[in-house]
Amino acid sequence: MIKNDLWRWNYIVPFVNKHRYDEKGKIDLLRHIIRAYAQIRPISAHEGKRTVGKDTRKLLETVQIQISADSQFVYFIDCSKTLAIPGNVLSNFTIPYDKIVHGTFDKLATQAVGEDRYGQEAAQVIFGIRQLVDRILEALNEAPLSDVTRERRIRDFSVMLSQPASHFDEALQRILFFNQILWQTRHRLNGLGRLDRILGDLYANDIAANLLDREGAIEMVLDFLTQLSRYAEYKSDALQGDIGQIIILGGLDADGKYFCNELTEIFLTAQAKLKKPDPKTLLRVSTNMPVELLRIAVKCLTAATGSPLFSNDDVVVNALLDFGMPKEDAYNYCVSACWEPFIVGKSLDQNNIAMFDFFAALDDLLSEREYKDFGSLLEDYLRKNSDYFGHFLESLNDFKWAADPLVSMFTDECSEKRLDISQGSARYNNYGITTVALSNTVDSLLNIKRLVFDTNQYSWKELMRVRAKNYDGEDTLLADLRAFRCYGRDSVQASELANLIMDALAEKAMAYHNPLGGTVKFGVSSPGYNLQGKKKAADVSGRKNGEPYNTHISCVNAPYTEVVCFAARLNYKNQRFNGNVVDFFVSGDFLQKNEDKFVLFLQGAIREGFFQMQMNIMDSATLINAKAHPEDYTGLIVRVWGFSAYFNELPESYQNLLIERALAAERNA
Amino acid sequence: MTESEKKQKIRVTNIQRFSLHDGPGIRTTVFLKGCSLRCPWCANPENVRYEIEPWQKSDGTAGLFGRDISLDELYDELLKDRGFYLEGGGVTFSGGEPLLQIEHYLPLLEELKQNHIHLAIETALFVDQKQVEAAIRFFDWWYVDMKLLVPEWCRRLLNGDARQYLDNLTFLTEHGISPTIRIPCVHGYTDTPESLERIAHWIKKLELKQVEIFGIHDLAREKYKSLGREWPMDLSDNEEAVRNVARFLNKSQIQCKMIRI
Ligand code: SF4
Repeated sequence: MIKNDLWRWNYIVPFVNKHRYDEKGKIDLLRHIIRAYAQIRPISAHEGKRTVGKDTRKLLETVQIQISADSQFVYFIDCSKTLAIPGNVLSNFTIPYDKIVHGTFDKLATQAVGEDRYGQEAAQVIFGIRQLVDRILEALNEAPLSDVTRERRIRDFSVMLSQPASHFDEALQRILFFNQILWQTRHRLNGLGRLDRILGDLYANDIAANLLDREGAIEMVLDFLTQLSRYAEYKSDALQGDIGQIIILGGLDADGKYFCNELTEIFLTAQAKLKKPDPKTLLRVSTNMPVELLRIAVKCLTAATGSPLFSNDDVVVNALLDFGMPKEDAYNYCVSACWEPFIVGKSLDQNNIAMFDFFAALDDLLSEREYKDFGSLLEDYLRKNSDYFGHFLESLNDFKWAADPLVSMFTDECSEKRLDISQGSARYNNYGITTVALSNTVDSLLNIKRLVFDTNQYSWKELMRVRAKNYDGEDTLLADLRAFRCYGRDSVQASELANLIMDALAEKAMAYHNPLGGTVKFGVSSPGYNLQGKKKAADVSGRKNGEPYNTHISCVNAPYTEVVCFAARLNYKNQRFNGNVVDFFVSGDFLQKNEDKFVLFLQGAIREGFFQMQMNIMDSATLINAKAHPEDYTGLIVRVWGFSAYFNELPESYQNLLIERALAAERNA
Repeated sequence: MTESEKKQKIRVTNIQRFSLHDGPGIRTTVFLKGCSLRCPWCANPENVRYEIEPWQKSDGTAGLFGRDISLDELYDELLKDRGFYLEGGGVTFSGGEPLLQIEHYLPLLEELKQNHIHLAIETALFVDQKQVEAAIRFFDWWYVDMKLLVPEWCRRLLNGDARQYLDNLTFLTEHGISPTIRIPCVHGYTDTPESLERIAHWIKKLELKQVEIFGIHDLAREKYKSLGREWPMDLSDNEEAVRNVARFLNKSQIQCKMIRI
């Protein structure tokens, strides 16, 4: 589906789609639309037939340069101008910054330019970038900077495109420069990649040459992160804060050794100091990692920005290898904006293009007919769910991607093949989808089994009748349904059922090929648990009409260890690695007083084999207070799905959900 | 465990995973039902009587405190978090008084020990010495309460025999165990000079090195209510008790750590 050919629609449609169910969202939406129409001008080239390359060049030639005196870095976005590209702009990825840190942009340019259409488009973009560099160099002479900073930045921009970076700060500036170009050209959810790995040698050289010390580096990284945190409104996707500038740290290498360096710690330390929801960090963890690094990560968690997210290499890498990825890629994975594994510089992979609802098929079945035994119900559900998934996958075929000469240049094999990335020239061309309600479906099925078929406490008709009435006046039944939720608990029955349901999906996923030759990956955590739940009728897990689905892999009634053990029993192979996050609420006070034990918990959890994990460091009292007195809590950050956001800026339904989950977590502690 | 041992049952009120305050590391704590004492400030009123007791909350919800669980089932439950028992983590037996039922779960301790699970116990030691003796070889970590050592008060206020306690404590130390002593600071009870003098005397005499003190709290108020009882204590100036105890021990050159229970 080409969402539109009008740049304005292309700009606004994502907001419309994601905001339409929220009260506050509607206001945000209106604000965005008005702003977009009032302030943003589409920039397009005037000579000859318009192309993405020409438009990009024109845009880069005309953006207004702003150099701030508050930072040692040059970083700006001209929020009043954007591209008028038709089709869906690729987003939710990271470009391989190492190619322009250790290599040069000129080299990428040489590979890309040529007489053919691919080469001509690249040439336009390259021209625009060169112009921008020249204009920045000019502006630097007049900029309100100290002499030292000015000199350094002139040094950096003079060789920005032609030479590999020689210094740590130079490399940071370079990353900022290309990052701003991505944002300016309407790419969204731009990740940063494995910055400790990419920058480790330059950092070490500067330290050895006495050009830098550790404290200075922390301040420098903090400045770098602060620059990235600017323009939050411009950058936000569905909700304020959904920006996706994720930095990947640490990670297991193919030889079994765990990679980390001083920069890993420095980024975590600076992240804690930043006190902003975005940029954010993801720490790749493994049983082979140093405990000390986990200790620093737990310290970073106590800063309550939602970072770092933990991704367990011992499980994730295996799932990627099982997918058939070569070791060099699997061990080098990054993630898309939330958590979906992504191979930087080799992928078109669009990892969050649609959401599948596990409950939809069950919802329909329950209203359609009466069942005499659980076996037939389950069999019909599996079949129907597979059918729904099949249709769902077909709808993915309609996606068309806008040509992207800039990203093509950065992506392996595109220049060799002389084919734009949007045409499927990268090594990986997969789609990633997220899912909701696996938990509610499993619990519904098990409750039906227990109440109707095992203990005969309810007849099928009676249970469905009270469900249809949204359990009105049935508080005891509702409490019973909730008390017997098994997803996320010790119940082997629940994990086996979850795996069975996913197996059927995986089979379909593995047989699917998208028009670009890729396939589809899925996972069991999704941003949609709140909004999608609003549209759906009551289930049999104790969720009433319109209430949110359960969040990711979580269970408010179970201790953390129990949820982790459950997550470890889920099967993540066969293309189901598109983000599977255990989601916890931990009170800040509890975490701070037990830092050492949380390190042990993480060590144990890694061994048990969770896939990914995020922690919401928050206590209910703070949240309740913040809702009542937002003016006193302007800096309060919470974790929403794959990102952190300011609590005040969330729609009320999310605020309520977070409060409920915090209360439940405290009851368990 | 033999087949018949596996089926043997003990009475518990709760099994708590991800327990962070009952010994080193991450632990699973089993709360056994039944206690020989009747401390007025008890924070676990549901663990005091051995009988299974009904509870009812003001919102109408109701249930039972206590259930009998087979050693087999309990063993499985205790091993669920095994992957998290790092750096000294493991299983803690608490209560109530966990030693009262020890004869009934020795095979379980044996099995846990053989599987290298770190074992801790939280006891008040008001039990038969035979029960202490049976426990000695299993537990790697002992928390022992030290409450009221003035014999008369101990009998009248706690229903305990101070002599029995001190004999048991001496017995423990003679067997090479150096327990962590936990002193509840209760204003007008444990923080009086007479009480503290005895406490200090015994700590020194038995060369007890780890001493923890804690203020009592009224978090169990609702639980008392649900059992049809009233929370009997007045805690308005209990902060003072913690200060009194800390000051006294300091003066007696006994190092202590303040903890929160
Ligand atoms: S010894 Fe412990 S469990 Fe027993 S009554 Fe006293 S405080 Fe309660």
